[in-house]
This record gives sequence, structure tokens and C-alpha cells, in this order.
Amino acid sequence: MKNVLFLFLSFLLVSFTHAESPRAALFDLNEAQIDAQISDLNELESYVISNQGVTLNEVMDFAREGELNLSVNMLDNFAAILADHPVAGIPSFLWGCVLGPVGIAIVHFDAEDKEQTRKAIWGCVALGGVYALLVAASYIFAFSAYPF
Amino acid sequence: MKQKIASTLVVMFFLLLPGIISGQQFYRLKADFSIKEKLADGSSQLIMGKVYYDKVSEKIVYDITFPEPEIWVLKDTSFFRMKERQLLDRKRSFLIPESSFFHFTLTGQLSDFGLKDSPYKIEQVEKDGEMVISTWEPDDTKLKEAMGKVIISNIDKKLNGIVFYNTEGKMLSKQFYQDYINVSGCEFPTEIIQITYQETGQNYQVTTYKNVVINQNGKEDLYNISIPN
Repeated sequence: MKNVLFLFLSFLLVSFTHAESPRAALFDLNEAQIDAQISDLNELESYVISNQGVTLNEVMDFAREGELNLSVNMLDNFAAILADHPVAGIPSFLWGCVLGPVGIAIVHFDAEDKEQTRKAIWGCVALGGVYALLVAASYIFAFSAYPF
Repeated sequence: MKQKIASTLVVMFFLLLPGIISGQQFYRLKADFSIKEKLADGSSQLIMGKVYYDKVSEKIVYDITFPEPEIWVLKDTSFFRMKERQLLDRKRSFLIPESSFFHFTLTGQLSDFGLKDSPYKIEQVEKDGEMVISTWEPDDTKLKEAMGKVIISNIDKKLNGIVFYNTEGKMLSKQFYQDYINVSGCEFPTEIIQITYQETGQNYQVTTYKNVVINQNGKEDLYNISIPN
């Protein structure tokens, strides 16, 4: 009985000494999982390497025309990350167009992106243009309706 | 007499050896890079090009070829985007070149990710097989309010992995440094895997480096690129 107990304790001790510490387990890396996540990107990378100088837009055109064996869905998702990130999801042009200088300020300080600010400015300019046209039209209407 | 001179020279050589070895200065690096990223929302990103870092100019310069030819520069706390030497955008950046992986690699601080010379102090060290695991905590009350602990693992004195936590002890991200190569005496990991933990899921980023060059001559226009106003 004592021998069995001794054997059991020895086995337990050996198991404990070979068990990975919780901190060591933090550094277990599941490379297969990572590879599965980026497998389509690996394909795209290989294509870009073998076609030096190719841009994303060109790759997307080739894929849509069926000249490339790459997932168009993946490329669409890919493009989404490069797309505009306007404030609160509202196009910057509208911010400038509806709120004028206030909209430009909101876009400028929130988006911190010159391109977005530029779009808001164009929106504001468009608003000014529409306002000027309306004023001019009202004057024309007034003069034509009540000629002096 | 000749014997005396010879033995003196041998003694002097061994006395000076540590200085000769540690005196090896790495001041700049260049590499081809590719960053593959898969986000929790299903979107993905691939960025490829060359990266340049110079310790003196303290600029990280990304000469990007894909998805579009552009130049990205990190200087102090600013991020600049340029195309054909025209400034497209300027933003705040949280990545400071002097606290970057490139800087730590050149200065030999990568093994502890520069924490030894930071307001962090080592709290615990343990050994597990070939891995040495150290836990670092902020050593400053104010820093403790903003930053959490960091756990580092080293294999063969090289950085293997690093885990970042927030102040509440929640894991923020893990980084793995793999496939080291020795370039002119400088140990350089050619693959970095980062997993970022968010409420919506996990983001995966794999960065690979090729054709690493240390202390390259020339290319001053890139290493110390001028940023237009």
C-alpha cells in the first residue's frame, strides 16, 4: 500500500514539475490560427511581390475582371479600411454644406485629416454658392415681377 | 623584452575587449517590410515597402509601395503622410521613434523592450524551461493610474514575447518576436506577431522584415527626410 502511495505521489510530483506555469502559458502561440487568419493576405502579398509596382486599385480591377485568383470580397473588405472615416459616419461634404464654418471646425478637430477638412470646405463653398444663387434668383424674380 | 611586450599587448587586448565589443555602434537600419492585418470586423490590410530608421534624425520613414505609393514619417509625436514629396496629412502619433522596436534593436535594449531605462521596475522573475519570464510594474504613482503591468519572456537572452495589460489587469495585447537574424552583429527579429484584444474580438497583425541592412551609407534623403510645411 505504501509503495502504491509512494508511486502515486512521485507521479503527481513529476506532473507538477512538468506543468507549464500560468505565465509561461501566456506565450503559447497558435501559429496555425494566425496563418488561417492571414492566408488570403499571404496570397495577395505573393502577387504584389511578383508584380512590383502594382497598386491596390489595379489589383481590384484585375480581380473583378477574373484575371486574378483572389477573393473580390476580401479585396472589398480590404478597401473598406482605406476608405474615408468621416465624423460620426456623416460625409464631410455634408458637414460643411449643412453647418458651414461650424461643420468645417467639427471635421477639422475631430477627424484630424486634411482631406476630410478639404471636403467640408467644399461643402461650405457649395452652400455659399447655393445661397448666392437663391439670392440672385430672388432679386431677378423681384425685378421681373415688379419692374420699376 | 619581446616576450614582455607581447604579453603586455595580450593583457591589454583582453582588458580592452569588452570596450571593443560594446563599442560597436548601430545607428541606422533599413529593411523591406510587409504588414498583414486582419481585424475583428473582418476587414484586412496589407502594407508593403521599405522602412528606414536613423537614431540621430529620430525619424521612422516608411517608403510604401502598396497599396499606394506614399511616404509615412514618424517624428516625435507626429505622423506625416506624403505623396510625391507633398504633405497630405499630419496627425498625432502615440508611437515615438525613440521608444520604437527599431530604436531598441539598434541600442541593444530590445531584450527588455527598453523597460530597464523607463519608469517601470522589475517585480518578479521566473524560469520555465528555456524561457525567462519577467513581470514589470510602473514604479510611479501617476504612471500606475495610466499604465498596467508588462510581462516579458526571453529565450536565449532575446525578446520572445511581451504582454501588455491595462490598469485593471485586463490583457490588451501580445507581441511575439521570432526568426532572429544577425546582421553585422545586430540581432534582428524578422517576424513580429501582434494580437490585440478588443471587446469585439481579436485583431491579428503579422509584420515581416527582409533584406535588413545595418549602418547603410547614403540615402540621406530618406533617413533624414525633410517634411514640407
